This record gives sequence, C-alpha cells and structure tokens, in this order.
Amino acid sequence: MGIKTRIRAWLAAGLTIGLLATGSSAFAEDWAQVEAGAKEEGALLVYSTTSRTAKAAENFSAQTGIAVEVVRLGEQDLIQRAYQEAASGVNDVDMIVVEDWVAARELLSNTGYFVNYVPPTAEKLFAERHKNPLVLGFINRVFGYNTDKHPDADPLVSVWDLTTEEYKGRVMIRDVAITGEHQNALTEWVRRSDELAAAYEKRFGKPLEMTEANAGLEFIKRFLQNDAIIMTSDTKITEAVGAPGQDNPPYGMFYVYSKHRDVPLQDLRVKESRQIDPTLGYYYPIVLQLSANAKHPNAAKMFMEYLGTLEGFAPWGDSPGVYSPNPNQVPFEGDMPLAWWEDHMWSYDLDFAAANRGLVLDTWLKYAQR
Amino acid sequence: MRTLYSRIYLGLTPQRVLSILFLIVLAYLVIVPLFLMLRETFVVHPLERFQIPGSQVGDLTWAHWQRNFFSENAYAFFYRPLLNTLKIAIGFSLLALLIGGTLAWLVVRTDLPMKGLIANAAIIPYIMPSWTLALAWITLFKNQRIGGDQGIFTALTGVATPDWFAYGLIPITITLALHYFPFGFMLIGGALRNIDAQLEESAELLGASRFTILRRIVAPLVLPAIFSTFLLTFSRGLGTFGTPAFLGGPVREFVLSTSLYANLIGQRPGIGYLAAVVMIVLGVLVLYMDHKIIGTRRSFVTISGKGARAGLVALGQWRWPVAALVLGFILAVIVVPLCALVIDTVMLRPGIYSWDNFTLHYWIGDASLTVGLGTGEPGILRNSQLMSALGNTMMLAVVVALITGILGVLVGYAIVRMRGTWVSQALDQMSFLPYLMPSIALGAIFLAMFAVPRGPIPSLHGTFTLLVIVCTVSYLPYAVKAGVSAIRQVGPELEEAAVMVGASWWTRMRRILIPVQKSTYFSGMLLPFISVTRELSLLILLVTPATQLATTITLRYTDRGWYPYTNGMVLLLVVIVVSSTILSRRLMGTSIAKGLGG
Amino acid sequence: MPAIKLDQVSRAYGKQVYAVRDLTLEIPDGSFTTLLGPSGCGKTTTLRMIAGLDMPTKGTIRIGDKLAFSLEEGKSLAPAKRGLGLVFQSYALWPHLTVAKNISFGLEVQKVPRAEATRRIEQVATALQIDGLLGRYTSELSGGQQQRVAIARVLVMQPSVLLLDEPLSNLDATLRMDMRAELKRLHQETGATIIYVTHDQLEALTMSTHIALMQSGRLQQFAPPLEVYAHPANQFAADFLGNPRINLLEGSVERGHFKCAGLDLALPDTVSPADTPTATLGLRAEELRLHGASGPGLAEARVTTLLPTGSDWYYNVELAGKSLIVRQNDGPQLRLGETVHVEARPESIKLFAGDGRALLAAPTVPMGS
Repeated sequence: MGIKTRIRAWLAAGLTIGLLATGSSAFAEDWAQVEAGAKEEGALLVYSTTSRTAKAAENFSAQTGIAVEVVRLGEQDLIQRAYQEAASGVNDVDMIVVEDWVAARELLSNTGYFVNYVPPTAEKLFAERHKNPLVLGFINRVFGYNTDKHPDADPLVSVWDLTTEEYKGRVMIRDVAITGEHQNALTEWVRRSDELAAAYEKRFGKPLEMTEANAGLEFIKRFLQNDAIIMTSDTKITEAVGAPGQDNPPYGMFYVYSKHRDVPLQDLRVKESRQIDPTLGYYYPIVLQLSANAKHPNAAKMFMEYLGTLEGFAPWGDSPGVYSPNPNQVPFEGDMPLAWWEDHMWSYDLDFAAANRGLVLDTWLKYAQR
Repeated sequence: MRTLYSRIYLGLTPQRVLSILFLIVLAYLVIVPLFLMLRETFVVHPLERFQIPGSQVGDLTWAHWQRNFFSENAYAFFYRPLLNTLKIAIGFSLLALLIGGTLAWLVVRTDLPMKGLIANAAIIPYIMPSWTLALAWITLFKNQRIGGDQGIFTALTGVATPDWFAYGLIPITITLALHYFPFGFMLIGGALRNIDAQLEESAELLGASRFTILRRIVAPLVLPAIFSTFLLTFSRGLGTFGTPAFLGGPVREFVLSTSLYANLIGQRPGIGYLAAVVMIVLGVLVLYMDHKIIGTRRSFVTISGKGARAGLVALGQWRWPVAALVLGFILAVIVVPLCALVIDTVMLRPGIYSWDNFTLHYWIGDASLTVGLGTGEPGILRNSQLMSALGNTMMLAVVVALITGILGVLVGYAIVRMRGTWVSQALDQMSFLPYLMPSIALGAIFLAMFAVPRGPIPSLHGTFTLLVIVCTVSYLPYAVKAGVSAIRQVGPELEEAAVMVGASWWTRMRRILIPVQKSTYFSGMLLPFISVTRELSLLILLVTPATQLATTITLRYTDRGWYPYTNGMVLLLVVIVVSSTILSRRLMGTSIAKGLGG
Repeated sequence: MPAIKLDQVSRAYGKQVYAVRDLTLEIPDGSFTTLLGPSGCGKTTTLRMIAGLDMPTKGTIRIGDKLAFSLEEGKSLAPAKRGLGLVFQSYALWPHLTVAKNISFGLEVQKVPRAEATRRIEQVATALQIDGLLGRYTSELSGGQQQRVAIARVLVMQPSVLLLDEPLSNLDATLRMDMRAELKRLHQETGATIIYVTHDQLEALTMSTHIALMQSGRLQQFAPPLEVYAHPANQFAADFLGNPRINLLEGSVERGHFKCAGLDLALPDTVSPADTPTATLGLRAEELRLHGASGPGLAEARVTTLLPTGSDWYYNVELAGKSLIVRQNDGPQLRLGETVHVEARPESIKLFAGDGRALLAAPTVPMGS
C-alpha cells in the first residue's frame, strides 16, 4: 500500500468517524476544512513532556505526510517555555502535550495563550470530564511492595500503615519538593481530610489525633517523621523495592505504575498494592492544548485527533499505567481499565490544588529535614 | 578645555577602549538579567497568590523574603539548607583543592613517571556528568536503607556501611570534590608552571626542607590560583542540585538549591529565585574575600622575560609508590565509573551481567521492536537524530570555547592593565557574576530577554546564535579567570618591549601576550568547551528541533529509563572531549604538553 | 644625535602624589647621562616618560627637533616613533621565542627587508658575541647572555638614543664589572645618546658623562660625575655619592672657621659664610688624615675598626661620639683602641646649612634649573 493510498484510506476513516461522531453535517464540513487546511500548513511543532509523542508523531507523519517536530521538555520547563514564548509574542509552537495541569492551567490556559480543542473522535467517545481539558491519557502512581517478602498477600491495608513503626525507614517516595504532581495529589489528601481521618480510625480503631490543621498535612508530617526515604527517581524506587534477594526490602509510594513494564525484563519482585485504603495512589492527566496563535492550527487539530484514536495512542499502549480516555482501549495485560482505577484512586481537584499546593509543599519542606 | 580634551584623547589606550566596550556589553548581559531575577523575588506569581492573602498576580510583595528569612519555619525552609550548603561547598572545595593541587604539583614539579597519562586523565572527572560519581558511590557503598541489590563493598566484605557514610553530607562532599578537582589541577598546574624555579632552588640552598619550600614559597605564589579555584568550585557547589538530591535524599539532608528547584517546580518562582539570590550573594561574598585577601598580593609577576630552567623535584624512592597511588586514584574515580557506563551500554537487559546478555545493539543495532529496551530506536551510532544533535553540541562547544577564549584574553587584559581602577574591579566582578547565577534561572531570563527584538538586537529566539550567547555569558567566568591570571603573570615590560619597536596592540596580543601564555588560555577555553557538552538546564528552554543538543535529546531516553542510550551518549561525549583536548594540545604545540606536564 | 629636553615635566597619581615633579632637564646629545637616585625617586618614571611608555600629567618632552609629548598640544608621539631603544631591568625577553626571533621581532614589525634584517642581526650578534646562541630559547641562557640579547634586541633597531633601566642589577659582581666596561665601549663606539637609570652611585660615577641626581621626584643636581662628587649641590647629593659614604660633621661656623669637637678648619677666603651655630661639613674618607701626635686644629679620636683592602687602609674612628671613616694609603700602622688625631684636608669645601642647602659648594649652579 503506497503512502498516498494509506493517507486516503485514513482520511476516509477519519471522515467516517467524524460523521458518525456528531451525526451533524456541519461538523463534518468543519473537519473537512481542517483536513484541507492541514495539508496547506505543513510542518507542525509540538512541545511534549512525554517522549513517546515523538513516536506517535512519526506514525502520524507516515500516514498523513504532515511533518511533526517534537521537542521533549520537562514538565515545568515546558510550562515555563510555552509561557515565556507566548508572553513575548513568539508563536512557534502549535500544540503542547503537557502535565501538571494545575500549573499549566494557571499560566497557559487562564492567560489565553493556549486553548482547548475537542477533535471528532474525542467528541464522540470520550467522557465529558476528559474533554475539557482534552486528555491524551492518564498516568497512575501506586504503592508497591516486594513479592519475595510478601508472597501471599498485599501487606498494605491503609495508607496510615506507612506511619507505623513497622514501616519506619522503609518507605520510599520521589521527592515531593521536585515533583509537581505529588504536590497536586497531596492537596487532595488535604481536601478529603475527613475520609483520610476515617481511614485512620478504621485501621486503628481510634480517632486520629492531630497537631497539623488537617489529616492530609498530619499524614505528611507523620510519614516524614517515620523516616521516609526520599529518592530522585521512580526507576530507582521500583528497582529498590523489587530487587530479588533482599531481607528487608523497602516499599514504594507514589511511583509511576508504568515502571512495572520492566518487571519481567529485570526480574523484579514488585507488585502494586490494590487494597490500600482510602486510595491506591493517584492518577493525573496528560493534557493536549492548542496554541491560541498557532501557525498550523489545522495540522495540530489533526494530530490531536490522531492521538485520540487507538492507533495514535499505540506508543503509550505498550505498558501498564497509561490509560487512554478512549473507552475502546484495551488495558495492558494484567492492568485494569481506566474506569477501575478512577474508582479506586484519587486524582485531584484543580482549583483546590492550585490554592493549596503551596501549603502542601511548605509542610513537606518543613518536615523533610531530619 | 583643550587640555581636558587632550587628556581624554591621549588617554584612549587599548585597555581603556576595551574596558568601556566590555562594561556596556556585560551590563546588558549580566546586570540586566540579575536585576530581572531580583525583581521576581518581589512579585506575586500566579500560584503564589493563594498563599499571600488579598494579593493579585503581578503585585509587589515582601512576602517571599518574609517567608524565607523571618517566618516561623524559616529554619527549615532556609537556614538549615543554607548551613548544609555551606558545609558541603566549603568541604568539597577544600578537598578538591587538596586533590587538584597535589596532583598538579606532582605533575608539574616532580619527576613523577607517566605524567602525560595522568595529565590527560585528570580532567576526565569533570567531563563526566557529576551523577556518574554519585551513582558509583551508591553502587559501591549503599546499604539496606535504600533497598535493591547489595552495595559492592558490603557484598565483598560483609560489612554494612553506616548511613552517614553511604548517604548525606560526607559522600556529597567527596563525590563533588572528585568531580571538581580538575579545576584545581588545571589552574594550580598553570600557576605552578609559571613559578621561577630559582625561587624554589634558592630556598633549597638556604636549607629549607621540601615541605617548608612548598608551604612558604610555592603556596603563597600560587595563592591567587588557589583562591580562583576555591571561588570557582565553591560557587558551583552552592548551586549544585543533582548530586546533593541523589545522595542527600535517602537521609534527608537538603541544600539551598533544593529550595530553588522545589519552588520553581511548585510554580513559586518568587521564592525559588530568592534562593538563587542568596546563592549569588554568598558567591559575591567569597569574591569579596578573594579581593580582600589576595587583592594586594596580586602583583606577583612571575614571567618577567628573565628565564630560568625549570628544575624538577626528584621523588627518589617515592617515585613509583607515588605514581602507583596516583594511578590507583585515577583508576578509582575515572576508570571504574567509565567502565560501569560501558558495561551498561553492552548489556541487553540492564543489571544482568552474563555473556549471553552481551550486545552491541545499543550502539549499532537496527531499530527493533523486539530487542532491547529502546523499542524502535536504532543504535546510537546509527541514529541520525542523535548524531546530528551530537554534531550541534560539538559545534556549539567549539564556537563557545573560541569566543570565550578570545573574550577571556581581552577582558583579562583590560582588567589587569587597568588594575587599581574601579573599571577594572567592575569588569572583574561583573564578568564573574554569571557564574553565580543558577543556570536554570539564567536560561529562563535569557529566553524572556531575547525572544523579542529589543533596540538594535533582533529576536534571537530559536537561533544557534542565542545558544552561543547564553553559553558564552555563562562560561565567560572561566575564560576571564584564565585570562586574568595569564596576563597577570606576564610582566608589562614584555608588552612594552614590543611597544618600543612599534608593534601594534593587535600584534602584541597575537605575537607576545597570547603565545606566551598559551596553555593558560587553553585551560580557560577547555572548561567552557567541556561545560557546553554537558549543559542541559541552561539550554533546555532555548533549543529548537533544529538546534537539538546531545544532552537535550538524551532526555527522552533518560525519562523512559533507557539508560544504555543515555550512558552511551555520555561515553561518546567523554571520548570526543578527551580526544579533542589531547588533539588540540598536540596541535597547539609542545608548551601545552609541558604546561600540564605531558 | 638629538638632545633630549624635558620642560616642567610632572607625573602625578591623583592630586597629591607625584612620581616626578616639575622636572626640567636637557640631556646633551651624545652624552651618557645617568638618572641616579634612591628607589622611588622618580628616575624610572622619567625614563618611561621619555620612552613614551608613561605619559606626563604636565610638561613637554622634546627629542632632538621632534616634539615627543605636549599636553597642551594634545600630542604624544608613539614610543616607536621616538627613535629610542629601551633595555628593561628584567630584560623582558620573550620566553616563547628564540634568541634570533627575539632580535628580529622589531625588524619584522617594522617590515625591514629580509636581507637587510639578516645582515643587521648578524652584525649585532657578532658585536655582542651572542652569534652562537641565536637558536636557543632565552630560558637556556645565563644572566649575562640574556643581558646581551636584550641589548642586541634594542641595538638592531639602530636607535639614536639608548635607554637602559638598571640593566646590571640582576648580574653578579664580576659580570657587572665586565658589563660596565662593555656598555662604556658601546657608548664610545655607537656614539648614541645613552640614558641610564641606576641607584648605584658607583656605576653612575664610573660610566656617565652626566649625572642627573633625583630625590622624591625632584631633580637635585645635574652635572658631570666628578663635579657632583666634588661639589654636591646639597647634603643629599654629598651623602648619596661616594663610597664609603661621606662623613658628615655637625658643627658651627665662627669667623671663617668650621669648628667641631676640637676640629678646626679654616675656610678659604673665597667662600666664607656668615657665622652660624649649626652647619654640617662633609668630608670624604680620603679628605681626612690621621696623626699620632696632636697639633693645632686636630681633633682627638679613637680607632674602633681596622679595614685593610690591600691597597688602602680604612679606619673607623670615634670622634666626640661620632663614627668617621678614614682612608689612608700610607702613614702609621694603627692599632685598635689607639688614640689618634684627625686632620681635615678637604679638596673642596662641602658645607651645608641646617636645611641641607650647600652654603658654599660648587662654583657651578646645577644645570637646567
């Protein structure tokens, strides 16, 4: 099959999906315009926090002939760069694949520099809550333990276990101070303090006594006072928890579940906790946004559309811990579908997170020093 | 009026014209960014507004300063990390000085065997990213606390290392010292070479012991170089983040740069930049001390044009034991980490050290979906993107080294020849300031400054030129330090002798001042060259797909945990940098080989 | 060969500190003029201003008929255009160049044709006996050889004026003696004007045709060496020249006689100053005689040190609590502690007022003032 035929076939498919999605001919006409425009526009520039975007872009280009350049940036670097450039009137980037939406929303969306766009497939298939902002996929972060030490059962019952003597000096977490998403996630522990306090009472049969203002901050304090080990890399945490032959292996908190992809490769003995109360960790979105002043808006829209399809999501689909909002996406072997995780895990409330992550960070910094 | 005019006209010496030119340029490239950064610490930023009741984005505020210095948690937020920072910075700077100085003395001043090898190897620790040493330390000495495989030391001896040795301030200090001692080696080596051997010999004739000679004659003469080294390493230590975070986290020791990173990541740049300001102030304090202590003694003119044969100290029976010790040291800090990197790139599945796991896939393999970690990535040497990024890096490094090298000589010349004037001091200090600015902050500020046209300067956004400018500003301090110490050691009469026969300023620079101190300038260019190849945080906000660099492109492998690719790139850089320094030493003549004892 | 004229030349640092102040001096054409004085007296600054390496803050400098510097006219001739050659105290040889390259550098800069350059290099190299060293690096040379290279480097440019800044201070004593003779020969052979800076009065006395004695930035006396020696313009000049140092006796002038602790010297009629209770008489070692027996006008003293040099005897004697040095080339052999009688036999009267001015000294006034 030649490239041209492939493009035609794909365009036809896209068109059909678009038609089916809205059932409205007006939308179909719009999308046709988008496709026509995209061909005129040429090369697209994307900033992305995830390196797999480059792989997806390659596939996209092969199909459509539209070149995509992907610049890989760290979460905060991306926000900073996109913000500075837009503020200076430099509009090179057309689209961003961004994490830490709490910060990105403040700097990029609320300022009007970037706008949301919902392409046909997402419009048709995604749940409403995944459309604004448009979600490329969700990442989840979990608690994990060593299966050599605990071959039969998941030892973790409650997050409060981590503050007990048994776990003293045995729990690892990527430094909250340098992990924006951890800060966001812990604001949810503040917002849902009551549930957290209830979990304590359920676990120990007595009410939580607090010196901090709420159960969320109290947890941070007790967790750190229980000699938590602060690491700089999730990879290292997974390896440390899962390495075979340990007498006293550590436990991991809030490391990215997708690291479990390497478990068979490295012969790691690690498993995520699926019963810890009240949350199995947290999940957060990777968001797609369109530059308000994009030079190639139609090409960007087509790429966003592509990323919402199963084919477009394929580069992320080869590991656990990454979930497309596309309900047709089949979970990675052994993993659960997004809906299951949404039921068992907390995410965070954007407004509350924006207002309180400073508080979380300060509390963390206050107790992080020994 | 006429005499005033005459005075100004007659006073237009090359050094004055240069000084004024540099003052203007540096003011724009150094003082403006500094001011912008300082201003940020008084402004309410989007996410900061929630913690400052009643504030709007963009308001002026004292809140960041209040929080950092006077709030009830100021000790945890600021003072404790500050103390840790000072302990580490002072400790590792002294240790780096000791190692670098000793090696330099052995190589330049004694009849140690295998000098060439040692001189070339001694700069490698700085070429390798500092995390390689931190990683090596953990691999060697880790204990149960951070889980995973046993540390090699424990595996061999059965002795569990205590936490204070495995993690925290001590290993941070040691690994940073091992990373930065090449500074001392190069700068002190250069200074030692310039000391008139007669000074040492005459002391020897007076019956001074070798140690007394070192302490009383040699040490004071190289004092300016020692202070320069201390200043350079200390200031770097203030801003270092990776190693302290990696080695300090497990036992929860934090430094000032944690505050910078944490708050930038937490989107509180006001608080973050405040940490940067404090680091700059500390750096300036050291700079000031340097001026106070060394200022009056700076007049050592050691190259006077009155040559003397350089006599080498005979180590006698100690010759081979010392050589063995030095080689052992180099083996430990260079060969071992390098080998660890190499092994990593030839193991198909990480951490499994068996022959059937051996592969060259990560170097020369085809893009494959079934073999190895990097699904769909061709091997490094066949990966056109990686190779072109590597090409960009080398081009940037060479251009920046040349420009900083030339500027270093010129600024150094202006500073030394204008000595005693405020202009000289202003130039000296201004050219050092960029060194004190954390690169993560400098990158963001330069992005804002050069994204749009300002006055005569067009928008440089996305251009290679901007990368060159940023790197030049950032690494100018190295070259200026080298330039100043080089020119300072050339007696003015060497230049005046050329003036007397009518040599133009340009001829004097080209034929006398530069060749006479070639190796010092070369060292001054070497550091920017090496630093550019490793730079990430300064440039990450400024590169575009067309100007991708080895470090920025390697990010994509790092964050997927594809370390064979990351390590392979590091190795390639090490190989390229080492071979190009050796090559250029050869090309630049024997005096450089002599300079570092080769 | 040009004469060099300095007119009211000053070099100030800031408002208060003067390295050289109101220096007016005319260095005669073809002379060997020494700028002499203690360190910090401004002699090197003067040399550098003549060379054009330093700029006066006031005044005019002329070299022959060329105006080299004038603040008023806003003119400062480039050093190379002044037709001067300067030999630095430290030689300032370029360590990265061979001897040949050191010498040829200036010729290359001045674009002298190669054949001509080669001829001139050979000529000076032969004259200075360094023709065997041309391929060496300067660090491989001895001090004396380096000195010759430094001079060769300057001579090859065929300057009409040769400036030498303490060129012998880095050499050992014997080599210094040789080089003195050689420099003097050089002066005679080339006929160039030489300006020579030194703090060594013996060098000045032996080598120069003129001495410009400076102190604290000011000219003290400008005269031929023996003139300065015999008729110092002031007490400083008397004290600075001569080895051993001049004996200074403090006494009084009464009716044409200088009196000091028993010593009585009748001053010549030509120069009899007014009576004063405080005057200082300078007597050089050879102007004192020691006698065993006492006599009129002789002062009693005691021998404290014997210093034989082979040809002469030097004695330190104590006269009224003051130590004097006396040179004898005949007379009695004296013993330590012996009492002797001192006679003053001045060849010229060197008498100074309390402020150091000569009361009656040289019949000549210092030149150029």
